[in-house]
Amino acid sequence: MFKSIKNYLSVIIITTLFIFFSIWWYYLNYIAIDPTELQAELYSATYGIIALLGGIEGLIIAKKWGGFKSTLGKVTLFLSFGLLAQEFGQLAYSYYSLVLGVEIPYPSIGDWGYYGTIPLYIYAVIMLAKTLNIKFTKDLFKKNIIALILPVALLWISYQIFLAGYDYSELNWEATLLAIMYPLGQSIYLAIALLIYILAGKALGGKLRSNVLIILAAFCAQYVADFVFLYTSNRNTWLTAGINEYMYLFAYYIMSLSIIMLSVKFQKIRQSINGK
Amino acid sequence: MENKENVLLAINKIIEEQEAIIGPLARELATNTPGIKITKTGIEIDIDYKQAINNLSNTYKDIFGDIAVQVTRDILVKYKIDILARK
Repeated sequence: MFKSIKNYLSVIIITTLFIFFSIWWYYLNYIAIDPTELQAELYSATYGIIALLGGIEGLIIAKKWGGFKSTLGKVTLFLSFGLLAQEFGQLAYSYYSLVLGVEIPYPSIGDWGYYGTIPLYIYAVIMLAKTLNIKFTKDLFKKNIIALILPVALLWISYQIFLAGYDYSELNWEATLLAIMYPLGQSIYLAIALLIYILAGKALGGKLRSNVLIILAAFCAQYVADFVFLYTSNRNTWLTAGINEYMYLFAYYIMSLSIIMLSVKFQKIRQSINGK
Repeated sequence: MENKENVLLAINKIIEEQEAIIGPLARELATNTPGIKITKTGIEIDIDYKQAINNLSNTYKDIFGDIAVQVTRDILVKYKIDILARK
């Protein structure tokens, strides 16, 4: 009983925080009469603690799974780095608005945190594919037409929505690079995540099946949050503590949960070995 | 090619491959697989080698399902050991 609670302690903590921030978000958006900008900024500055906790815990958990020496260890590590990069972006944005009291410049150091997540998540999802013995060879693309169409379709959709007709004339090289890489990069990690689900299919089983599925769901949640962020910010309709921030809260929660559940599963397997 | 030495090499390779996937837990799992003993000097089998490989394959199958079995199969093909029939 005690062991079981100990295994789930981090899950309980992170879920409690998620519920707390959900209630707070609901209060700001549906109950509070005319909430102040400071209230919204405070919310925006603090909910990333879930990403911070998930990221830190992930660094510890990764060691159990072999760290840099194993593919599952690398998955855990790079998901954690991604979460920490997100939190860095959150804190940097909040520093501009709450501490300096200025409009957030674009691009800023915070954007490098957000955008830095993309290569980290792409590497994590490639390692996940490797963990599941999926090899992206010419043969695979020849045999499986979906494996070819899906990434191309996602890249095309991102290009059409975010890049076609985009005016780069007033952007410097840094802003141009980020404007192009962000929508395309997130399409890449989503495409690989979906391919893993399709290609691994029924072969994916065993004790770690649910863990892999939660990780894949977390990639989808992160993609949706990023997609809506880009869409609304391009149209100047993004709101502090608005619906997109709740999407990020959910994405951080499910990504952190996916990492923590790897620890829970590790403990369970160890206990089953020792119980033999 | 199914001599004992070859089988031991294949088992060692299977464990190494799984270690590259799930880390040191792979060796712990192998140590607890019926019929397989991992000592400081190497791997020992005290049951029929086919059964030992099947047991090891099932141990990893318990973690990742048929994907883990495929990893084992690929290694057995490399070592020319015909044990796990392809579905």
